[in-house]
Amino acid sequence: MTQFHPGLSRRELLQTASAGFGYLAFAGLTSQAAEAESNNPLSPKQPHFAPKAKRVIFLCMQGGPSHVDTFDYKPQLTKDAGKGSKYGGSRLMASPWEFRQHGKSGLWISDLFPEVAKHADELCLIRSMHCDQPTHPRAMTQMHTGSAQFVRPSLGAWTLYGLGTENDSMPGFVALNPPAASAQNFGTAFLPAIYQGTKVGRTQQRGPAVYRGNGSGPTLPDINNPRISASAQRKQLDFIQKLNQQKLEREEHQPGVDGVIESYELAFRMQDVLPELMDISEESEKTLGLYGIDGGDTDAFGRQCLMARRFVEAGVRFVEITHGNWDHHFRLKTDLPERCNEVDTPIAGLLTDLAQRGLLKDTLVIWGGEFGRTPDAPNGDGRDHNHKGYTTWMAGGGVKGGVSYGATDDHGAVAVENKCHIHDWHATILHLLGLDHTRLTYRYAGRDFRLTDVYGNVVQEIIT
Amino acid sequence: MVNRIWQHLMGEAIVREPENFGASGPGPTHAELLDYLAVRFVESGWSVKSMIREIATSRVYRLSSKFDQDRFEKDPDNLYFARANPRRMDAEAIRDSMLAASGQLDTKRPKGSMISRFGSTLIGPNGPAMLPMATGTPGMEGRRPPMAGGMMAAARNRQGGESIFDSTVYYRSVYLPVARNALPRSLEVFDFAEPSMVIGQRESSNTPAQALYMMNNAFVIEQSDALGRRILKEAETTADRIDLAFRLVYNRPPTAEEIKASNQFFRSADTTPAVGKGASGRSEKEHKFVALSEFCQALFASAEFRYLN
Repeated sequence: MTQFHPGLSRRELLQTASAGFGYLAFAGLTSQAAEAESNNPLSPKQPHFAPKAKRVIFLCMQGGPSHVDTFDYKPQLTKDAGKGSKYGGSRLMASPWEFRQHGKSGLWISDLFPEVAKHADELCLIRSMHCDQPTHPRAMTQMHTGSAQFVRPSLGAWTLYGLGTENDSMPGFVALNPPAASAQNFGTAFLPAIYQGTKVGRTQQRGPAVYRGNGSGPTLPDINNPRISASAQRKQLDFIQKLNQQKLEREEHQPGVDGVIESYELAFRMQDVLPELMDISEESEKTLGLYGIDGGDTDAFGRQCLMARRFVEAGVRFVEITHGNWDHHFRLKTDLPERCNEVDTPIAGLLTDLAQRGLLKDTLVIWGGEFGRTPDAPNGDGRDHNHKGYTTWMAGGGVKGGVSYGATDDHGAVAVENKCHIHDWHATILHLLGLDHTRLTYRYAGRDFRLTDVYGNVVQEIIT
Repeated sequence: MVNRIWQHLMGEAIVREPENFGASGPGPTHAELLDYLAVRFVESGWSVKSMIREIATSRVYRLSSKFDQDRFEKDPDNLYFARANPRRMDAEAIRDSMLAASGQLDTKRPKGSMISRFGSTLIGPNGPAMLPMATGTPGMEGRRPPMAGGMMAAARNRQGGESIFDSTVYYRSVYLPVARNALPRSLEVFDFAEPSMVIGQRESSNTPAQALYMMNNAFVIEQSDALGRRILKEAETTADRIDLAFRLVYNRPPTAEEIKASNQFFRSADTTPAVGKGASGRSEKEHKFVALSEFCQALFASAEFRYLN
């Protein structure tokens, strides 16, 4: 919270004051900060050093999008198409899509992302990603927690633990449209439960409307009372708080009760604020168009991207959106363009919108899947999993734009130059947020744990 | 083991980090006591029951949690167990206590596994056959499985979002199924241990999710209704009903201030008769019952209910 207390240094003041629009929204909430600060584990914390990014939007492409058909240009693969591959015995397949250079930087991006390509000069492609896991659930878990083997806190939970949150009426870590069996990817493991991701419904959820609460938008568990009005509930809450207050006075030393009182007030504010934030009906036609919210193929993901912007604007620290079905073993030529089309306009819209609101400079946007795909095609029209070399990208929040970092070999099979392991990726993300990944630790079972275990090197070259 | 049993009964263990007896851990506050208990445990033939009896009949177990300024200054963390540690009930105890107060608790053991009724299927949003979940428990929403139609319909008709396990069964919480990635919400919000990890000490957090659960969840409202019906039946006047509700929920009579606050609440609920969704068609009697149920819910929701003194 932008609270001006005597301990505020000149530097902190300047940082805060120059943080721009995002902070203005909270000016009215500062009065509540003072009391919350003392015992609220979510109150904002000072990072280890000046952050480049203050918040994160992570666009998670579940299934493993093919890098050689999207962001990793491999002319040699086209030349060698049809030849036997040294990777698995099946034949190399050229990308069916053209690559072109875009922007001043001349980044090579395929025709599958025409809209995102217009933002080429803002993108930082990391073309040398690799991780340790060749299967979806395990790679997904490693991407989120650094470990596929043990249950560990997720990236978002670490971020929230390290930085706290800027809005005391909102959860600090929001997972939009979380996939099945993913609790661990948004979980806190041994970190206190308060840092876990708040899952906000599945928009393409099927089934009777009654499951979805009011309307068809995404929902949060228990966010409204099925029976009584807000004013009636306020009266009930006043009664609850009176009982709590009396308990506090009766028993003198009861640290937990303060927390209970605070949690009710926060919950009551959330009931108000969240549905409002998730209601995009006030947005202009132009904005909706920007995100491709038009009832067509881009509608679902567009809504989530727009909601992500509304969340970060309101001070949510970490928003993750999942988009599924990128596992193209078969039907690559028909399915991959469909997936790309669903996200292309919304992502471009998000980047444009963030930039025009002045948010992009300190909002880190991350795009990527748990791994990429192979240059050969074991099933004819499809590619296999490839965790040895793939591409993710970042934009905004202190990363250089129009940059390609690292490289895979001639065919895009294996990362060979400036390799970026998932631990390095995590270390870099934390670094951008002003957190030293070696110092962000939590003591559990007798030792200090980190997101990056004993690994991780910050990729300094991509940081502005 | 005795350290963990002690922790379970006393709130804090003798070695404060039960998972770390090593050199980097904090060590025992009462080394002799820990040794004594360990020896007693072995001599009793490793009987957990005997150990619980031994601790539960001790003087220290029966100590009051009353706050004492002098002692607090000498031992602010109560390392030496000079008083009982006030602590929050575990998730299971919170759910069971609500059921016990409302008179709904079924202490019998369910027959077989509830999960097995759904056949060999993935339980979760993307499973081929899923439990019909209202909005809410993220791990469990989805389409209905082909079987168990009655239960399904019952759960589906309920508003507000609850796991089928919570809204249709009143077994003790230890019998609730724990499917990976699909915890019953009643347990999930109150720091239930992550099922795939070794957790020696649970968190005891105060989160807005808990507050939302207590204010809005269908299961909580249902138990409040049940408690409301119970006190309507068992007591005549409003004063008696307030008294009975406090006795059932907190095991003690209300204080004078609490009686005053309760009466005030009933008066304020009376002055705003047309409240809420579907309230327009509500009769005077129904409206009064909703207020009574809200009152019961407030007792469940307040800190007094979830903290043990």
